[in-house]
Amino acid sequence: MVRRRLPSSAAPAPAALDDDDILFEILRRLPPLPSSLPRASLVCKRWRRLVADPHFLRRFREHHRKPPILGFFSQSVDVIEFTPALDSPDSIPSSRFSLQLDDPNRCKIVDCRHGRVLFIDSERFYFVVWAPVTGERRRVGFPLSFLGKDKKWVKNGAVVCAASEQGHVHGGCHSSPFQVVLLGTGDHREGVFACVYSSETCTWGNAISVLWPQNISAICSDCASTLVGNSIFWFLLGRSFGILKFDLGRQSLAAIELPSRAVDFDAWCRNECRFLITPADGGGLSFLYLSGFSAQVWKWKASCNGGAGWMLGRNVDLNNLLSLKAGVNTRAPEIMGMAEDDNTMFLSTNVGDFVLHLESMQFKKFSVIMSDCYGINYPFRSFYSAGS
Amino acid sequence: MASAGSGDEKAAAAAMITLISSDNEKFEVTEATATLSQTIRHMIEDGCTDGGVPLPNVTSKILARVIEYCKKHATAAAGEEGSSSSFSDAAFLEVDRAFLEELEEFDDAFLEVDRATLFDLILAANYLDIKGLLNLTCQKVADSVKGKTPEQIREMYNIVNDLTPEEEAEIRRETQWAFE
Repeated sequence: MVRRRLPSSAAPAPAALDDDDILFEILRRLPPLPSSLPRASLVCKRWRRLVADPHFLRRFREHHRKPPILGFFSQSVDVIEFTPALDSPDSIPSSRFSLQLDDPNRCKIVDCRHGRVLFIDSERFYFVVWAPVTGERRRVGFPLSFLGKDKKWVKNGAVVCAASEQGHVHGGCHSSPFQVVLLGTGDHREGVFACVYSSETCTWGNAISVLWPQNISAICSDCASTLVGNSIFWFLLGRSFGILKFDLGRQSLAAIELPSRAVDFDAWCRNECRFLITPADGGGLSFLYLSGFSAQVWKWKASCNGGAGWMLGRNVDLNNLLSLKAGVNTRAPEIMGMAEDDNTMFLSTNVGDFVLHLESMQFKKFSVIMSDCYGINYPFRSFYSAGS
Repeated sequence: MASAGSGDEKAAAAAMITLISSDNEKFEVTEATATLSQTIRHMIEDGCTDGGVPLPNVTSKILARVIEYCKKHATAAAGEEGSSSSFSDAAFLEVDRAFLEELEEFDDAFLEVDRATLFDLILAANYLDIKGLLNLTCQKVADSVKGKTPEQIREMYNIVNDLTPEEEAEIRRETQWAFE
């Protein structure tokens, strides 16, 4: 028989803590960090019951609004790697979020949003959506409109939460439905195709398409999508550059060309520049062009004649801004990833890693060692409940 | 407060409410101060405040603190209404900012109390339904738990651990990293 140890002083617990409503109010104000609720659940039975209650978890998410970045997913050839972003005791070990893919050589990570990761296997015509916190995954074949004689080459995609309840706060979306937007290209004259899968109905919608803008002929498959408002954006390229917009509400596609003076085509060919599509503060669309040590932020703005166009917002010398003290042979900063909810990007430089806010250009050092082996580091945001 | 200084004694008297603590002490407050409490607001709306509002769950010591909080925040609410209705220029925004800073300082100083008083304030804020005060005091307790181990939390608040060893082991097994 194990004796339950009483606290050293014989004083009773504060009366306020015996009131379920008050305890509820206190515990939902605990920090949104992953160790908070597991620790609270180990205090006593009552605390454990309360922090596992779905109503409590909903209010906890509502109170904090934005889940923390738990870490980053990246792919190194055939391994999906999780790099924790938080310090102990909130550092979730890589092994907690490990995934064994059926065919890791062909299956490629293309997106991560609202607690889910999207993989695409373009050769075997399926996608996998994985919820790392619950371990649940769903494998779905490409739509018929992308197969057979209508075959489309699937180049990119996006996953979004499709919760429709009022006041839903992303960060615990595992039990909510999701949508996957798949992008494909066919015959050059046909343009770009998009098709949406709904997990609620387990069906694909009709494929829709938009013609390529002049001098653009490809979807960038190494660039992550960006959600801005209720639209998803991807980067397009060819002899010129553009952005593809999928409006989730209207289910419509549109292509926007980038200003030719914004991008150095030769630098792109030499792999010396990078792009990021980012949400502008205030909800608009902007993109960042990074070439060497120079970063330019362009904004999509309505003009007085009723149209809209790109305007150069900021032009920043990262060498000065980040005090890189770069010499002739110093490697230029590299974009390691982007957090669309914060409008920040993660930069690797010769003096360490930085997280940089793209509107204010405020920055701080970042101590997480990100994977630089291949492609993008996808930030993974989620709340973490005790029974996760 | 504001109404007492208006010069119209009758109107000022009409806008005063008497609150009576559990130890029978009487506190005269303006309606604007009293109605930060949703409980009292409903009583006023129902016309049940003649002869004073008895608050059998709140001692005079705690009630005095609650009134201090409400007075300060009622002034803030009145100030906000005034500025948003007609003024939005930089000078007024500056005044607003300074006032908000002052309010924050007031809140910080207000929370400098011993643990027993803090919990009594929570009980009073909950009973009187004063959202701002409940938020402030509950956040203070949540902050005190932050980063603490379950053992430290139990020790701090004299909570008896009634989990079975099996339950404890299960939680620890699922989220071992959270306890390191």
